[in-house]
Amino acid sequence: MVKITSSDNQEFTISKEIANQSVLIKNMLEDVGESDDQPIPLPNVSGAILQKVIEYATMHKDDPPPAPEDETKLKTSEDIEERDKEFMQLDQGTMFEIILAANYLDMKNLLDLGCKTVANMIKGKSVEEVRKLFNIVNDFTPEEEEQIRKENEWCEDR
Amino acid sequence: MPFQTSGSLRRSKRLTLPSQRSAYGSRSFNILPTELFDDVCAYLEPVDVLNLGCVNRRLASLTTSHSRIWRILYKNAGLPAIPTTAANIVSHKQVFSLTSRAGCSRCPTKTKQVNWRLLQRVCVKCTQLSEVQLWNKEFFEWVEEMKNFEAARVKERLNEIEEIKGQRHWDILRRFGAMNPPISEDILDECEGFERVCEPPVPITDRIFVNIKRLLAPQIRSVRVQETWTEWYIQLHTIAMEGIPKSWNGYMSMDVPSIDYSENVAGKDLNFIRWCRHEFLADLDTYQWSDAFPAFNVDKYLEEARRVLRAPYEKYVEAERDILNRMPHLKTILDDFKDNDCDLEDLQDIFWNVDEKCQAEKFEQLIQSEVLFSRLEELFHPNIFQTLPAVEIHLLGGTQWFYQNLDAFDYKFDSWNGDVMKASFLAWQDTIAIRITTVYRHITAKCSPKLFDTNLLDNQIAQLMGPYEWHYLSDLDPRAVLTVRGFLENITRLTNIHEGYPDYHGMRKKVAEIQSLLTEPAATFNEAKLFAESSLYFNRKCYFHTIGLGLIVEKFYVSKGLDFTTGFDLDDAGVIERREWQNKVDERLEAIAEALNKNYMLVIPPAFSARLKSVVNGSFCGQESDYVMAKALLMDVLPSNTLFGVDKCLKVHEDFLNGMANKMLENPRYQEIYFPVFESLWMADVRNR
Repeated sequence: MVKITSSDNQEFTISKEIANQSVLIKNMLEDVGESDDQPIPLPNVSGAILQKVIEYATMHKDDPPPAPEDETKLKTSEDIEERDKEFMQLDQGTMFEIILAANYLDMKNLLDLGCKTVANMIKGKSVEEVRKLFNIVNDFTPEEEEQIRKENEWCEDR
Repeated sequence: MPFQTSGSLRRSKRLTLPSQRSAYGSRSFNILPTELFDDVCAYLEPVDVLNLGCVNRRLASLTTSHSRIWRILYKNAGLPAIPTTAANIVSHKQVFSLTSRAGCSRCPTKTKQVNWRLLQRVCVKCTQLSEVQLWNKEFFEWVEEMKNFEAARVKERLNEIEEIKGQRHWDILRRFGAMNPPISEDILDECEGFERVCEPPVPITDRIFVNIKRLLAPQIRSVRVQETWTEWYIQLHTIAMEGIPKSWNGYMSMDVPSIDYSENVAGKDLNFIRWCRHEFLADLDTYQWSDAFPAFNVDKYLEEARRVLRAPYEKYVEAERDILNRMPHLKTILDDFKDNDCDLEDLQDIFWNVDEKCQAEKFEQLIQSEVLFSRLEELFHPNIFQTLPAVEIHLLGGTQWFYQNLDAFDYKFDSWNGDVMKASFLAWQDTIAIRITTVYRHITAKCSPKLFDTNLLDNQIAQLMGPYEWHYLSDLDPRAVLTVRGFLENITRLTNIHEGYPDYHGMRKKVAEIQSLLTEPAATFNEAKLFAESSLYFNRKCYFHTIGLGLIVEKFYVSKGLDFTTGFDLDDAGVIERREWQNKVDERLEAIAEALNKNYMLVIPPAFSARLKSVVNGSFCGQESDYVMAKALLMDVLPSNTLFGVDKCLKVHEDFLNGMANKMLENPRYQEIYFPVFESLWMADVRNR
């Protein structure tokens, strides 16, 4: 069993196979040796997010090891498993926190899942729709906006 | 690889993680670090990334032409790499903005066409007006690669569409097939709208399939109902007709629904089929398109089916039995009906369509005509005879012989003997041939030798030896026989000249008269009359062929008592006399024309006089009856008529002369069919051959 602590000092005890899904933790365990039962501090992840990450890892603990990346294979965001889709039904804040945590913990599958989920939210949306979706303010000056329109060949209908 | 995900790289990157918070939420898309932004964008279409670049300053800064994301997307898309020497000419982002948007850059035309040499989206018209900048060689090579790439993509896309459509078709079939009861491919193929619902290149979803079902339901129901009532009918028909020969179910091999439009199906059966359809459709009325249809209750309809469907065959069997009882010798003919499809159709037509009261009578009439035909066929080739509307045998004397031997052809009697009849016909042919030769012999004896053609060639004489008659004439001079036969040949041939064909001089009528004399039964055969008619005919032929100037001159010879027995030679005085004769007639006709012109209200065309002469001379082509009046006028204007007077003639022939003048005035351009008499007769001969 492995102990980990969150940025807000919550301690979690997880099985090694769950822990190993994070390349970060796996490398740390390899560095410090197995006999050490000191909890591993994870200062960039809050307890609430870590809880979700563990939930994901537990769900996927029996997955086969990921296949080596196939360069010729087209990247698609359409291939999300149903249980993962359900897992990602979160408020935007939590979702982005999980993406950042997955990146920090080096959990490729969870990071891909997060990116795909965000990509699916953006796909086919107009500029204004994206702004509304992510609550982003248009901070361009009119001159800048004109310039950007030109560069990106952007017109309102698309 | 567009981006690295290995642990070591991540660890070094992690240090760049921004710690600032978004003003609009704890964490938001807007503040994702560059590498994660790129990770997300790698899943997007270039157009989505172009749009992201327009959202706000930060996202614009992540998607400038120099941003890494464009290289990632470019590589992902498999586009032809931009050569380093062309990097200052075209950027990866530019390629995407060209392919992702629409519209000509120079005019309002909608186009998606990118001109890679110009690096612009331009319509065909603007392309023609554009000048190409002279970029470097590597750039143009890349342009070519882009063109090829696009062409390949189009092809690929078309293949994909075909594949998707194929899959859609298959999915639709599978989904319908999985229903209970299954809706088979055969049923769907019958539905008009089926092909159309397979057409869109969109994969099938549950929602789409629900729509397809709603769309096709009425058609599927109609096809299923059609199939079901047809199956039921066939089942009913088969059971009802057990034990009756298949040939009486011939139409069942057709598609039952199409029977409705077929003319070959019996009226009563057709009515029954329609009745069944009506009943069966009522039975199926409450069932929905996707319901399992009920099993067929044969018993409900069997009694009626047996009564209606078996009746024609049973009536036929009864009628056949009756005929065989009365005339057992007709068994072969009756059996032939069963083997010959055409005959069977005629027979079935009687028992299917004719009123029941008349069936037996019609059947016997059919047998009668079959017997007649088969007996005639034993003697003649079917081209030689016809049986409808009346029997005609197209050989000289053939029809007369048939009517002389009518009893032998009567189906009621079993006395037919084909060999005896063949011999009888040959004997009759021989009788006619002998009659013809006696005519030849008679004329040859009377004919002036001056008319015989002395210039005949040996091979022409040799040809004479061939024909049948020669056996009976071999003691005569072949030159004489040839001349006589040349003029009389028509009387030996059955001709079938159309009634409307010109016969001004009544020669066709004469031939028919002679032929009727030739084919008289022995008892009433009148040789003297035959000789007389033949002589008249021969004489007329001699006039046409030997003198040939028309009726006016012919009348001169008649007045001189010259005919085929004397020959037509004239001495010098005779020639002068003939000219005077002709002049006299012309003079008299001109006087008549002039007098008419004086008395007539209108001016008669100058051509009238010439026309009158040629009509009176018989130089027109027409029916004998049309020129009775012209011939009467001719008799009055002949020099032999010493009582001729212009006024008298005008009065007597008023109608004829007025009629002719009127016709010419009404239509000056009217041309009567004109050609010399020789020609018309020659034509008749040609038709006869």
